[in-house]
Amino acid sequence: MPRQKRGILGVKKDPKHQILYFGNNGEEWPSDDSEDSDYLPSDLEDDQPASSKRKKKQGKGKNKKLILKEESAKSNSLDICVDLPPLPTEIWLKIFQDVVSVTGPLPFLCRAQKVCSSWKELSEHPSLWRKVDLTYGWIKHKEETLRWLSENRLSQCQDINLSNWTLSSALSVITERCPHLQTVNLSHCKKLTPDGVTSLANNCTELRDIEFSDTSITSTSLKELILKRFSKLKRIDVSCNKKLTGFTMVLDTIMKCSKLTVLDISSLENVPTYVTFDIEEFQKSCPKLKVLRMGNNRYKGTPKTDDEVEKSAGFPDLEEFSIPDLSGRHNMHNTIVYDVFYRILHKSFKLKVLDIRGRCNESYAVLDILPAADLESLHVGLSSMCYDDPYMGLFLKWRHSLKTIDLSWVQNVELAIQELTSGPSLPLEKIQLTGSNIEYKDLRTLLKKCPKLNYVQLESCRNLVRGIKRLYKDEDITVLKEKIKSLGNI
Amino acid sequence: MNKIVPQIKLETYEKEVFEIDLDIAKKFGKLVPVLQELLNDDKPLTIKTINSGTLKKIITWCTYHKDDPLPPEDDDNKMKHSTEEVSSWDDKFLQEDGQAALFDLISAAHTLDIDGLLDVACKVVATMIKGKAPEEIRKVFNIKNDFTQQEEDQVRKENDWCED
Repeated sequence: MPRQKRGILGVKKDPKHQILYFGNNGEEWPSDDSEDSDYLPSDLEDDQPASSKRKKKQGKGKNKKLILKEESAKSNSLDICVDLPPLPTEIWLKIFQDVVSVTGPLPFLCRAQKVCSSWKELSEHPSLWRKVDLTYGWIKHKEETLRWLSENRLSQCQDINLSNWTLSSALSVITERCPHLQTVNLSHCKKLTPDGVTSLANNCTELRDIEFSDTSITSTSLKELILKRFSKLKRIDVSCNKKLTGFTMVLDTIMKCSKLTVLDISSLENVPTYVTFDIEEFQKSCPKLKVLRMGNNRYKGTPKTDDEVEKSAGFPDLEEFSIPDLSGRHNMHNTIVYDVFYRILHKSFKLKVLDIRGRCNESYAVLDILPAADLESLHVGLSSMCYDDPYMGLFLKWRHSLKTIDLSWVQNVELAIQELTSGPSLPLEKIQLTGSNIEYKDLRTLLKKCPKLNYVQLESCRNLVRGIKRLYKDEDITVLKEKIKSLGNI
Repeated sequence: MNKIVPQIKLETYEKEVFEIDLDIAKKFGKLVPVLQELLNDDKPLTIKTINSGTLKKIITWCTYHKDDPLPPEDDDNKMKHSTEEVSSWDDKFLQEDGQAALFDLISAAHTLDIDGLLDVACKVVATMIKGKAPEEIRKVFNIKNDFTQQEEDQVRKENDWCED
């Protein structure tokens, strides 16, 4: 088939349905200025031949000469023959996929619908709708929208974000029409029904990643879902749930997921004062766990002998462990039993992120014996540490690797800073000092020793004067340095 | 050190014959075995859909990128397009001759199965598209709006759920 007649979709189409390209009268390929919607290339260059001439001139004496001459001769001939070469459908699809992979399908595919009939057809291709974020601000949150979408667009959808939607019956429709769903985000959804969750469990056999943060999901529904889909589940987020009772039962079910890599069970309201769970059994069942978030609740491990603890493989792949207590009940129940802390982390050599904000001093004692060699992010803020050596040298231990430190509301921050700055310069990039007792001399040392700093939070620091107490980001850091300098030797 | 490098011969639309070093032609994916067979042949392989200018660009691109590592094969997850940005050299190289030349290059890269070139060239076109309103897209690519008034109303109604 001659090129000109082969339509954008590779099939011969009625000429009126073809995308027509006019190389001659068309805009030039926009330069970087095209970000500006007012930019018209024709404003800058009156006529195409001029640019061709310029190319010839530029080409002289350069190794590109030959090519450029040929090209300009060729582009002249193309200018006359009017049409741009059509591309086969799979190429257009690839281009559309490139756009979608950068911007997501929305609103791009809805805009593409309005361009012309060929683009309309292309933009309906189900392969472009595999990952859909329906939290996008301009979408009307109506259940009929979801029905229409699942019937007309989402047959191959694998990843859907429905955060903040109200879903009374639409969830069943979606799961019936989108059997390939792997990732489902239902966080903050209202009216989530047991029927909806059941249909998710029954229809979506590929399910790998579920998020139910801050919903009304019940333990019974969750248990049913996990029992049906445990073999493929890699990520479970049930944080901030108010109705999740019988948590130990849920945890027992979660332990069936041998492929689990991310588990977020933080901030559950209806759990006992201390959740007791079998740490070693958990490690045996979920050996691939990378992220474990269990903040704002209290835990106890079922009693084990030292031998049983040492024999456990631990969580060898764990990279993030987060167990803060942000409830403000300092010194009451916020002790993480040394035992629990040690048993969870004693084989986690790859640990990068540790969040123990609001936990009390005893928790820190264990940090010293953790095997993690290159911790990158340490959050110890909100604690009420007031004695001489609260950090047990933990900043010395990780000063070579730490990139983010949270010391907010810590009242003896100078000790931490001293430990941190006691050697050569640091890789530190971000530091949270909100409400701490940081003083100018420490701040000065910190800025000097940390050339990579791009985030310094100084709100509510009572030892600093007004006008300094704020957040400094990126180029603001220079401003901060100058301010500190101008304050002299205070 | 003038070692004789094996070369393959390609004939373009204009009947111009190009001699290409085999180590550069190795970028030509599925075509490589075919080309290797023709190695000892005096007759060039004719590819009528590619013009001389485009083939020269392709040779330049392949020469510049000849030492790049091969892209990982069998990446079953095609949606996981690498979101790596196009290098400034590629960006300039692909855009310097205008839209028609770029589209020719994409067609040719597709024919010759040069994945790396196809990838970056498509990304360049994708950059042209993203963030633009339908009217702007039509302007950039000179696309004719072929909808009837009735069809246009229908499309608008269908996409009403995404207020834009």
